[in-house]
Amino acid sequence: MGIKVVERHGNTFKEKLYLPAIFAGMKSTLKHFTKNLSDASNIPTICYPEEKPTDITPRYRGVHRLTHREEDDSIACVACFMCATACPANCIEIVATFRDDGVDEKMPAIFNIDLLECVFCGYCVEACPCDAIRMDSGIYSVIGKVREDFIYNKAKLLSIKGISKEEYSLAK
Amino acid sequence: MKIIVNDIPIECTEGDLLMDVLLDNNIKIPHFCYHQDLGADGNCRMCMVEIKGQKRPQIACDTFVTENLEVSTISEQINEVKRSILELELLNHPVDCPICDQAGECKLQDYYMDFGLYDSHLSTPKTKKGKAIDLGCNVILDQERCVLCTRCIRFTSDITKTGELGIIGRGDNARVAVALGHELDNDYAMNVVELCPVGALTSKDFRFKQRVWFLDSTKSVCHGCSRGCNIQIDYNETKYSAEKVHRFRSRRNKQINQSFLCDYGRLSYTELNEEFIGGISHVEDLKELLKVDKKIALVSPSMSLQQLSAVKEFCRNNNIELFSLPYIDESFGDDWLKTNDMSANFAGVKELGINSSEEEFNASLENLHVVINFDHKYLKNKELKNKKVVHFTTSNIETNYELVFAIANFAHDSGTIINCDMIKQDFYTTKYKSVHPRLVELLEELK
Ligand code: SF4
Ligand code: SF4
Ligand code: SF4
Ligand code: SF4
Ligand code: FES
Repeated sequence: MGIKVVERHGNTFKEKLYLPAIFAGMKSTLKHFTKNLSDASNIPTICYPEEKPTDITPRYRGVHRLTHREEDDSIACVACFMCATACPANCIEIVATFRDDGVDEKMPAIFNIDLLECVFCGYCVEACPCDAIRMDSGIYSVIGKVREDFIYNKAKLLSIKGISKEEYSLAK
Repeated sequence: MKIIVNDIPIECTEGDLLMDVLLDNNIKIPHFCYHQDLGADGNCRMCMVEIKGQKRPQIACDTFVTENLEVSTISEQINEVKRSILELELLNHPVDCPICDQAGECKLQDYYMDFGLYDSHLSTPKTKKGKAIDLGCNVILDQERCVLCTRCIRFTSDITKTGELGIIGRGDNARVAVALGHELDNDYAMNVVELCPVGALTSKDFRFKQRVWFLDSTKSVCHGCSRGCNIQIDYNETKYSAEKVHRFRSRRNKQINQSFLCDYGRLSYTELNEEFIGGISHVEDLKELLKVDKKIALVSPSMSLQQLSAVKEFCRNNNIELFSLPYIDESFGDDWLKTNDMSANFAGVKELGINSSEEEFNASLENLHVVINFDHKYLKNKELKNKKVVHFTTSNIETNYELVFAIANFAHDSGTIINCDMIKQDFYTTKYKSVHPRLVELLEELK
C-alpha cells in the first residue's frame, strides 16, 4: 500500500500548531454539555416513534412510489430501465414485458426496489422520462421484521399515495 | 492514389466509393440507407459531404474517388445541411425511445447528439402510422419510427430475392409494409432487424428483454453449421441472475457471411444458456473406469481444434478407439449460407485424422464395454445395453449415464475451428467464468 502525503493546511503559526483549534472545539462542546446538564427540559428531543417529528419539509425524499396514468389509472412506468441505470446502489430490479391492453407497448412485469440497499439519492426520480417514479410519499420510516419486508414490489409501490397534490404522472 | 479529407491525405484505389473510403478510415459519416453489403440507394441524403469545385453538397455513397479529390465532412456548412436533413427525418418520428429496443444503438439518437440539438418546428400533430405490427419470422415493425431507408426492402428484394417488403403511400404517409395477405417468410428474415438503422424493426425474440447498454459483447463464430458465420455474442450477468446470452449479432466478414446470419444460427444462442445443473462425477471414478480394456470414444465434430487434439491425445494415452461422426441434415442447406453439415468443425476432424466412419464405429461399439461420449448427439437415442457410458456435456441432458462431466460451452471457451471452405477462425471466451471447467483443463487433470 502506498503512503499518501497530505499537504498541511493553514498558513499562520497558530493554525499550523493545530491544538488551539482543538481546544476551541472542545470549549463549544463543553459549553453545551454544562448547559444541557443544568437544564434537561430544554433539550430538543421527541419520543419517536410515538411522537412524530414536525419539522420535516414536504420535499423530503420519502419512500418511492410508482405513479399512475390519469386517463385510466394504469401504471405509468414503461420499463425503460433509466432509473435502474442511474441508480448508484443497483437496487432496482425490473423485468419488462409486452403490454396488450392497448394503452402502451411495454410495462414492467416485475419492479422491485430493495430499500435496504437504496441510499435515497433520488437519481431514479431524476432519470425517469415518464414521471413514473417519485419520492414524494412522505414516508420516512420503513418498518419490517425480515429483510424481505424491505423489498417493495410493483403492487406495493403503486399503492403508495403521494403527499403532493400531483397524484398522477405528469409526463406527456 | 490519394484524396484529401478534412485536409488530411488518405490513400485509396481508383474507383473506390468515397463512402467506403471514409468508413474504412473511421471518419464519421452519418448514413441511413447505405450499407456496405447492400450497396447504395441514395435516398436518405444523410451522407452529404462538401467537395471542392462542386457547387452543391454531394452524397458520399454515390461518389467515386478521383485523384486529389478534396472532401470536407466537418465544415459549418455541411453540418448545417446534415442538421436540416435530420430534422426532416425526425419530423414525424415518435421519439418513443423509452420503449424502443433500439435505444442505445440507434443512429437517430447518435446523429441527433452529433448534429441535431434543435427545437421542433412542427406546429401540426405528427402523422400517426402503425405500431407493433407483427410481420412474422420474429420481426415486429413500427412504421412511425421508420426513416424509409429501404435497407430492409433491398435485403428482401436483392439478397433473399423473396421480396416481401415494400413502401406504400406517398410523402408523410409513406410506410414500409408487407403485401396484403402476406407475411415476412424466409430463413434469413431476422437480418432486417439488424439492418434497420433505427428501431422500426425489432426482434420479437430480443424485444424488451434487456437494454443494450447492459450487454457485453464477445467475438465468436456461430456453431450452427459448417459455414462458420462470424458473430458477436451479447450477454450479461445481473445482480439477480447468472450470466445469460441474450442474442447473436452478425460480425462483418467479407469472405464468409458479409453482414448476415441465418435465423437458425441467430437463434441458436439459447443452447448456450442450458448449462448442466445436475450432479457432477468425480475424476477418480473415471480413472478407475479407464482401467478396463475395451474402450471407445466419440467426439463432437463441433469441438475446436484444441479440444479435438486434447481428446485425441487422451485417447491415445488411455488406449481408446476414437471416432467422430458428422452431423448431416440434407434438408438444412441452401445455396447461400446454410450448409448440410451442421457441425462447426468437421474439417478439423478430418485434418486431425480422426476416424469418421459410422459403420466402423458401430462395429467397434458392439464389443466394447466403456463408451466415452464427448458431447456428441449420436448416442442420444441409441440402445447401449451392458455398457458403461461416460458423458462430457455442455448442456443440460437427461441422463442415465454412468458418469457425467459438465464442461464449458463454446461461449466460455476459446479455440479455433475450420469452416466448410477451409478457413480457420478463432472464437473467444466471454467475460464471465463458467461454473464448469474447460474440456482441455479437465483432460489435463486426467493425466
Ligand atoms: S433513491 Fe437512489 S439508490 Fe434509491 S433507488 Fe433511487 S437511484 Fe437507487
Ligand atoms: S420508473 Fe421511470 S425510469 Fe424507471 S423504468 Fe419506469 S419509466 Fe423507466
Ligand atoms: S428509433 Fe427508437 S431509439 Fe431511435 S430515436 Fe426512434 S424511438 Fe428513439
Ligand atoms: S424499417 Fe428500418 S430498414 Fe426498413 S426502411 Fe424503415 S428504417 Fe429502413
Ligand atoms: S447513405 Fe448516402 S444517401 Fe443515404
